[in-house]
Amino acid sequence: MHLDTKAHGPAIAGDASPATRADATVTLHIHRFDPTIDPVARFDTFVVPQVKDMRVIDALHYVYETLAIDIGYRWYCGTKKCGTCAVRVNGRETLACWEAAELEMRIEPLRHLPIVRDLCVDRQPVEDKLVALETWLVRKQPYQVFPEPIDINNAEMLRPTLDCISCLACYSACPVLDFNETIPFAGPAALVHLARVALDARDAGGRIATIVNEAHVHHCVSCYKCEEVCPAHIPIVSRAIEPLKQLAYTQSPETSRHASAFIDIIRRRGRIEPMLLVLKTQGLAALRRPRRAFRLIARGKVAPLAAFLRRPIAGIVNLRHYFDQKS
Amino acid sequence: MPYRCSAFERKVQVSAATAASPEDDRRNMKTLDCDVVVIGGGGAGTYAALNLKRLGLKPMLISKGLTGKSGASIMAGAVIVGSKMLGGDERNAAASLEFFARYYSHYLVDQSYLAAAGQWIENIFYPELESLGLLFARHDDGTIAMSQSPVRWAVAPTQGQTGILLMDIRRKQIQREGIPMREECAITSLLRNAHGEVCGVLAFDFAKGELFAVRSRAVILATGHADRLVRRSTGTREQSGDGIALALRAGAELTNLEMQFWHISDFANPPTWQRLHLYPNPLVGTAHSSRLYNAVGECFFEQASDVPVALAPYTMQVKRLTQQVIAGKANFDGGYFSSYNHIDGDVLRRYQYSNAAYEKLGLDIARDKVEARTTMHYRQGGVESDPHSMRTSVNGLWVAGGIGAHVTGSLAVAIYDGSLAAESVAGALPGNGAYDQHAEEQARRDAAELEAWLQRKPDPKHAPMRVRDAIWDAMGDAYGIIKSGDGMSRGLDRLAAIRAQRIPAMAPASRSRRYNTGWLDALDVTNLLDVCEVTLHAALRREESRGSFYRTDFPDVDNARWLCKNIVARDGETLRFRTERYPRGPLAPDFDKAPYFSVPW
Repeated sequence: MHLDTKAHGPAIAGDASPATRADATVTLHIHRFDPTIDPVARFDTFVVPQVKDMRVIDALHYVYETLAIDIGYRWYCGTKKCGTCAVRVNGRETLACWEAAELEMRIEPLRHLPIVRDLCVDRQPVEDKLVALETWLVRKQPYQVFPEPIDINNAEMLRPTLDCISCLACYSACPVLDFNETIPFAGPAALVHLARVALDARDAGGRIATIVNEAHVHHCVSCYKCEEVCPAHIPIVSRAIEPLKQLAYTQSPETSRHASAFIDIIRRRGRIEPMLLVLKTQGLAALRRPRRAFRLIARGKVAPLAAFLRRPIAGIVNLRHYFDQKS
Repeated sequence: MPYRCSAFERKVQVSAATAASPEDDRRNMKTLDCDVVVIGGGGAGTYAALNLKRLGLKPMLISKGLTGKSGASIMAGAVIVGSKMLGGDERNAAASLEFFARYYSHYLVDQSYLAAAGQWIENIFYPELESLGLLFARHDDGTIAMSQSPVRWAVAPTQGQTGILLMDIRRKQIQREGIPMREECAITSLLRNAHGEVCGVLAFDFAKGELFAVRSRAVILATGHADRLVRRSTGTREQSGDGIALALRAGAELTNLEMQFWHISDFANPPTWQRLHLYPNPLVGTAHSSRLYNAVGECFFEQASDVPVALAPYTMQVKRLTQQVIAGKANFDGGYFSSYNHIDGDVLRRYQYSNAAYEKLGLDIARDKVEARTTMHYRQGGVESDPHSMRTSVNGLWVAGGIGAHVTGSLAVAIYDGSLAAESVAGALPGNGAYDQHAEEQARRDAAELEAWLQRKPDPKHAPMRVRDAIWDAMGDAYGIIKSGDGMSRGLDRLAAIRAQRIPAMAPASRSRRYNTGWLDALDVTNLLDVCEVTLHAALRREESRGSFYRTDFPDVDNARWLCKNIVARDGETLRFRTERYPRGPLAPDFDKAPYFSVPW
């Protein structure tokens, strides 16, 4: 990416300015890009005064309102309710109204979404997923009377998913979505909203096909990047994605091919064999991408010989005994 | 009274070189069709659209922000519980009426509207939301967690988060029902036909940089009640008074524009948290409320002991703070503090959403005080409308929610308005007027004028945000918590100077068509100027003090003269005023005239 950096405002003092100084400043390098007229993106640099408890968005507001530079950035509430101001600050997804301004910030738009302009992204791809996955309650029984009796434990289990403000920080941080051209995956945000209803005891169910075949929940690699950046501190993997995987496997093991294959390999070998997992999950489809397969072998990510010939671990008998007890 | 009409209506000078020909306009500007345009994607607008669809009509929802993610509805911390629900009794019912009529409306309300809204909350509102899946906070035994005050409220699922979840459900409902939804589109004008009836809108999609007209047989304005008339406001980014400006220019009557709520306990720092409220309201799950301390550490306000019936005791807070400021023990811009440190920490962490904000600043909600500051909150007044149909004085135009001027600041009641407006529109639609050549010409003219902003030479010195800054400065001085006739007249002079000198030179800082909020700001500034002027004129007219409206030159609450609507409409170049008494209700003040600070509401 071509970077054309130009400075606005006063120059920075020679020494790094401590936060306590009255004339302390914050430096922003802001991503600028209008896809209708700019051939490439650039970064513009601005220096703004630091204020008490300053948030990232306070610095953006200064550039927009006081320096009168019309950066394209979206915000509505400024207080972590609307979830529309998420950007990347120094490479990390950040809700601009919530996180403290750093002394020097490289500010970029969220990833995996089309750029409208500068820092503003088009949220529509995620909105489309929320609708396609029917992320609203479908009742088992007609609603009777307020207040309805509810399962307190179930409500408590759902509780973390209710904190989502759809800021899409997780959608940007998810590495699986780097491959969204080839790997179908709903992404963490949509899965939190799906979990909110699919795990609800009042829901009519019938969501297994959606979880497996439309949301492709098993493409989550449990790397926890989404949880690291979630401004609402939702345990996205452990309280939304893993329970969805578990629900799908429990209710319909045959459609959860990834989980079934994983369990089967562990039962036979006592360890995971990545190549067997790929073959059992994708079948012959895995061979459609010979170049990728070759790269994986060359880098030692999969080992064909070991996959077929490696002996089970010591103590496999005990492990199988454990599996038999569980089943 | 002489009154200059809006720059936007009088229009930017459109030079022959830049003006698009009518052919170009038709080619460039789409025209869409629907039965009813609903403007505003908050609680009132979404419910109106859903009900119109249910009644067999084709609504279109146009939101300046993102539906369910902008505006005041997401700010709702809790929702009021119907008087006799969940074990409530006559005492609770009486307290609810007293709260809305006395503490929230200062008797400027039609009490028959309150009674009807209360019935609806009890019978429709809560069951509907729970049926859609909204989970209300419950105690371990399964009962709904409520405030223990005489007026009760519940939260979903913690205090401070209710509106976010409710509006998430509404957003999904709108999409599930396939209701056409256009977001990040500002309405530039209400289009009227030759008979003066509202028959469509012109919309500006600022994300894409496109204009489109919509032909409809009615319009419901549901743009909310937080207008960002000054620099610190609880209004969200897009709330710049558009609804008031559109209605004013369409000739609609406006009511009690000067009646304005203020928050006095929002975070003083960081600046963006000017809308983050340190609730003075009764805390769910406890018998307590927060306390306010002045600069020398004296507690000067606590809802639970000072005004137990005031569920949202904003006006009483404003009065007490004003007295502290006059006594030199606090400033409106800080130097006083809010605290929950007399309340059990575990309870706070369980039911309170603010805890996360404290943690973010390295503070402990159960121990630390936070510096607070005043923020302009919701407008109590708005567009004059019938309380049982939400019809305005202009044919084809209805309102719903905060802009409707009946009761402001309650999400449940705003949503109630949405149902009233939808029912009324559905009943009136067959006889309603049609889009004609007159409306078409208005759309073309207004589109050309919006385009003309962008043709100007970009110049940061004359950027719209700079002009808005000047308006905010003028309003900050003229329209603070303490007002006077002289101060407001000087404010009008400053606004007139801005209109004469700054508006003609105003030019967006770039010519980008994509998400150019500088371009949008040009439109917003012209609306804001109209709204600020008419608000100051209305405020000058009300020669008394009441609620949060305090004039040093008229320091008495004057029920003999001013227990009435202060109504204004634009008539050509002038503003036309009239007053109208409210119908007599069960509650009435028991004095004719009393000093402002002596009145306990």
